[in-house]
Amino acid sequence: MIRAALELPPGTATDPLGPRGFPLLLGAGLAACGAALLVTSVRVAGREAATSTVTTEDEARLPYSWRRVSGAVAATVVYILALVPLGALLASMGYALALLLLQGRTGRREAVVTVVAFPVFVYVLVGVLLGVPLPAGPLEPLLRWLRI
Amino acid sequence: MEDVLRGMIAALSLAGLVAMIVGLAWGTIGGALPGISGPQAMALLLPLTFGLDAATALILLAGVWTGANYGGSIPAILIRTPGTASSAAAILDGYELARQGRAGKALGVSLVCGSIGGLISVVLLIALIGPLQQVVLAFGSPELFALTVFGMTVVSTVSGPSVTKGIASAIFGLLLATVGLDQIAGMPRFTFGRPELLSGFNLIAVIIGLFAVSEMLRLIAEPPDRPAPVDHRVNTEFPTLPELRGLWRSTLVGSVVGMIVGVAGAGGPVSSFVAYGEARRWSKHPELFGKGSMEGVAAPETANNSDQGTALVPALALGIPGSPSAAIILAALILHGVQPGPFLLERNSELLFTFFGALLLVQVLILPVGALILRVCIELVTVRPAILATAVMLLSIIGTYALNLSVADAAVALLFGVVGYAMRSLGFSPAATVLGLVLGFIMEGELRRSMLISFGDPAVFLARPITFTLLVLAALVLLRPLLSRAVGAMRAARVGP
Repeated sequence: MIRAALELPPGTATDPLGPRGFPLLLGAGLAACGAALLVTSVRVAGREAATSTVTTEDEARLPYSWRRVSGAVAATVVYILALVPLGALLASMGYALALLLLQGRTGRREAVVTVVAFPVFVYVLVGVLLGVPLPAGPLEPLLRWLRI
Repeated sequence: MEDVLRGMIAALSLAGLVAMIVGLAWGTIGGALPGISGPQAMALLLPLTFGLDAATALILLAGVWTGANYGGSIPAILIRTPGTASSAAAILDGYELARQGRAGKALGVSLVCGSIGGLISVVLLIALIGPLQQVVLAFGSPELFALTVFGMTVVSTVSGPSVTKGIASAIFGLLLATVGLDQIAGMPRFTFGRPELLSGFNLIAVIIGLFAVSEMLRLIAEPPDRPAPVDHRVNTEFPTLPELRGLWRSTLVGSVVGMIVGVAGAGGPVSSFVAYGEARRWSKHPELFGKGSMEGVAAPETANNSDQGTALVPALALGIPGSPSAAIILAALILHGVQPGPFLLERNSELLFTFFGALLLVQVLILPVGALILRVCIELVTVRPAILATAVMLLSIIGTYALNLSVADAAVALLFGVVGYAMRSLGFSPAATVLGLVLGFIMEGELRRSMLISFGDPAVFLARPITFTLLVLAALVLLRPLLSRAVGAMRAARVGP
């Protein structure tokens, strides 16, 4: 951060701090916080080594939760990329389905509401009531016929 | 007074009325849902306010904030699970009342006393903002810079156990605010050659990412157990006049504590627990506390709503958010082209008084809306976390995209969702980052102007008494945990082994 800030122009007579001054100060502040945290964590690590409370159950759960988060992030990336070509409605339905599958089983009625009814509700709310021209994708003729 | 009345009339337009009711309903539902608190409920609605005029957008957010304060108490009273951190104190006696079959009465007391607390705090806000802004208008750039630094002390209340991590989170937010065209030299900074970043990160996308997406990623990673079933026959029972007379002491204690703690910036959770303890101390029947005392519900619920107005005082008078929700109100102002800061009241008095009018009205409207929407909330508090996370993620991404029909904005929301999730996992504070991001622009501008008028001499901050006092106070507040630890160690050393 400090290095990136140093690449910015320095201050002048009409702007003594210049574009680099504030980021430099912040970089120094972050470095100070980092040093303080390092000292604290070294001290705490020494104390905790004697009384470790991490269980094998915790260790087993961590990779599992990271897998779910990575899956959700990947699904969201695909959703964002598919928003325009697939249209907001179809992409939202696919995204909702992917997220539900990722999180495990759920009731059939709840799943239908989340995967079909909720994206339609959001599309109508944002696209029709708030007047935002969301991309329609291949469903454009159908949505135009439905006047949505 | 005339301005407030005019503001109330403006807020009572058809659009304003609809915005208040929708805001209150959404806020109450959002507050009741696990994993969504006031700031999250407000952040999710932010993109949808883009198509509205500034006044209607603020009216809507006023409703959401007030609704979320009450909504959090519904699961706290019914299933012993607070919807928001500020509602945790309502469990102590509210759940006991529910166990005795008096959940409806507990909810009624929460609604009425919360409404009284909210009204008192908004009146205080209206009374304070004018004089405070007159004082601030006499300030120069060094004083304004010192004020923004002092405003950062609120970080110590949102940063969790480690203040150092809170400060680091806030500095990260300040750094994010430097991305884009430099405000004085007009040259690009930290844009990595991307034209999309010339105007900086989209504030709303960052807020949605840090507040909503990160929280949902946490819900996906570690889904809580499905809540226990709720008695679906519960109806809100408002307290009778004799009952209300019996609650005046705890309501007063809650109001006073809520406002004092709110001004100190310590936030809703602190104020509600302090109010509970004080109400017990001042009560004629302290022995009933913890066993289903209505006073034990009234005091924390009043305090919970009382800090709403006081958190807005620094936000609207100085442009310094007193809480994450106040930061979102400032973000909404920026979204609608209104620059927060000392000139806000002078330049946008009509807008501000409409907001004040709405804040007063929603405290009254919450009574019927809160009572009517209870059944929907009861259905939703037991919703599976998977359904909730899916719906909120979808709404967050599509809402951010809809801001400018920009895939880049949606990507920013996701990016900061991941950043926020990592920050939460490592004990950092996304809320402090948002505060830094909102304050960054003003802080840098005033710092550079201060250096300009002093010809680059940093002694300008020490030579002016107000500036010096504010900076020393800020340092003391932020370093308080370290100082108290050092004092404790010195005392222990003096006592000896």
